[in-house]
Amino acid sequence: CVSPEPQRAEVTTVVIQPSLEQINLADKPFALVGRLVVNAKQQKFSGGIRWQHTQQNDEIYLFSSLGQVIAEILRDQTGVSLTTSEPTTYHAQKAEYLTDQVLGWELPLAGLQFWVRGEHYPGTIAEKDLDTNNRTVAIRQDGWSVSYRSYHAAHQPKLLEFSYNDVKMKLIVDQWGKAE
Amino acid sequence: SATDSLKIFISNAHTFRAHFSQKLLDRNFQLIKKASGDMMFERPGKFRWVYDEPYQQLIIGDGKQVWFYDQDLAQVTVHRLDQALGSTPAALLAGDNTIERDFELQEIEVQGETEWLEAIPKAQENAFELIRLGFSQAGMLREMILRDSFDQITWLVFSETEQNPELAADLFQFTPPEGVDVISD
Repeated sequence: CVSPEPQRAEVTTVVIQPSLEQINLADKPFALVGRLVVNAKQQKFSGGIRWQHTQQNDEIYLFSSLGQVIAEILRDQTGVSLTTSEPTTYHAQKAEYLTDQVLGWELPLAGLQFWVRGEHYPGTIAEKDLDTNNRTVAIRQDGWSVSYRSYHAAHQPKLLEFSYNDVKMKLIVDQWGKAE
Repeated sequence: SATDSLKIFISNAHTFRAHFSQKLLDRNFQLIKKASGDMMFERPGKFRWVYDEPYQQLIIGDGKQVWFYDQDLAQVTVHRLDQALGSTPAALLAGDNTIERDFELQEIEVQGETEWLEAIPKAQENAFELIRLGFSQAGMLREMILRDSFDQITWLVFSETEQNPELAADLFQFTPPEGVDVISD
């Protein structure tokens, strides 16, 4: 069931101050399977994404449009590793840096793990547009603009569009949770 | 044997069409995603792979390139055929001797009435580490299992198979629709 597109007209904008203790409190585990398109100046990506998130770790697989795995991104308490299909493994503290270096475009993991659920990242100031039934229509934060085009259900967006300077991204979440 | 079935399949099936159901499994064989649709090919290098469940996607090999069109994303990606050969089940099946040329072939034990053949890529840069092809006793392609370097498994089951059907040429041609973003890599 795909809910109708949230109306643009009656949108209330709230500005949310950062609250660092919320980063852990607001963190929720999830699993999703979907499709991701990235249009960055020097690098583009179009394919599938499979993502399992908990507070302690992230397991992300990026697939080519033809279905084979391009990169496996694993985050745990010690940092982040990115393994390509060669396979070659790269390590860094942050996924943002690693994806930018290895894939040529930045996956904003810290924010995305909240944005993907229609929430803002609690660590920095955020602006959030809410429609009349209090559903997130857009979030502007850390230079990113996130638009929620459609939802599966509350807190389960379906089509999200992102922009950051000249980078454009589109994410369709086809499946929340484990495959039945 | 499965190897004979493969050789006969490659030499006799100039064109082929089937319905397919596909399962993507993680390394612990947990189901990640199910999909289904219809596929057809014409040797060499021409194929049409249409996903209609869970969403519309189209993969077309026109003999030179492989076009991938995702309707929801309004996105087209273009790959060179040789680049796609090692990574697309359809390109493998539609190749002339791709499987025999690029893979070591080994018979493996018969499970029920399906005869299985294992194909291990000779070159490393192939996206799949292991491919299995299952043929019926009558030599008809039934199943295909592909495992990539992250131990993720794509499992394809073919049904309503038809060998050497009449296939119109434009089925293997693709022009990106208006207003669609095209990425070539």
